[in-house]
Amino acid sequence: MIPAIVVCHGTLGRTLCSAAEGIWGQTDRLIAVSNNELCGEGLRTVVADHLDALGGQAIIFTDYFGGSCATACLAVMLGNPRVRLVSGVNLPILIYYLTHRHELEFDDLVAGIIHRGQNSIRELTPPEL
Amino acid sequence: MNYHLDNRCLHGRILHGWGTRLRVKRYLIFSLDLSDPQIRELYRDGARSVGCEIEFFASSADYSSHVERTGDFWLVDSPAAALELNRVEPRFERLILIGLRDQSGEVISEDVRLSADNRALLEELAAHNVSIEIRRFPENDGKTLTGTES
Repeated sequence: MIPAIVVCHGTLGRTLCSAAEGIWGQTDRLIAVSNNELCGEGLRTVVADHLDALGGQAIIFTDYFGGSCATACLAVMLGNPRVRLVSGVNLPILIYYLTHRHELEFDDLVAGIIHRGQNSIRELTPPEL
Repeated sequence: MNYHLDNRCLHGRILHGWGTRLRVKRYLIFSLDLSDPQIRELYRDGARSVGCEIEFFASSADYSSHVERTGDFWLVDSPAAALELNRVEPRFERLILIGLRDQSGEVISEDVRLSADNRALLEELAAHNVSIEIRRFPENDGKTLTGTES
């Protein structure tokens, strides 16, 4: 099973993980990290420590491409092919990840996550009968 | 045979937390109130999004003619519907209470707030030999309506 770290601004990561747990159930080896009260180096250290604890392989989800969380995560993943970083994390992404993390290979899981995340953003209209 | 009760009807936890684990292929929804075709269509879209079929039943007469398949998941959206569904054969032996959030009800668990009326309906169901347990996810231990382990 491929573990994951959700690295987000403020309490967003923890809240997303909590919401995912309400839908999916147990979310072991899915860790939320906040940038609250951390400088760039501090955040890198926290993420790197979690990554080590997870065995060095993980998908890292982050909220905002270009933000401090994504930047810190990019620094952590440098030179490590066992880490993949996905920005724009949302609830459908986490549910997809939890549903498929036991069965899909690393590359296929990441590809599916990105497809699901992109596909989840749409304008909803009442169904036509 | 089990059936499930949630007054939010079909929602994320049922589609993902229950449906994936139990390998559900078809949701069978029994509701006394769900007549709006647009709302039904929304639920149909939700089921489709996870590759499942969905069928709606509004009377116990409809139910008695259906053919059971592997991967069926019976869901009712109220204790009154559960009671109505249990009036005809084949009868259900166990009702799994996933969620019931009566606005001003007694707090039984994280997902169950029970009004006096709905408690009375569930007790009537239990008197018909249906075992009732509260279960948040399939792998959780079931609890009784008094909050003890079932």
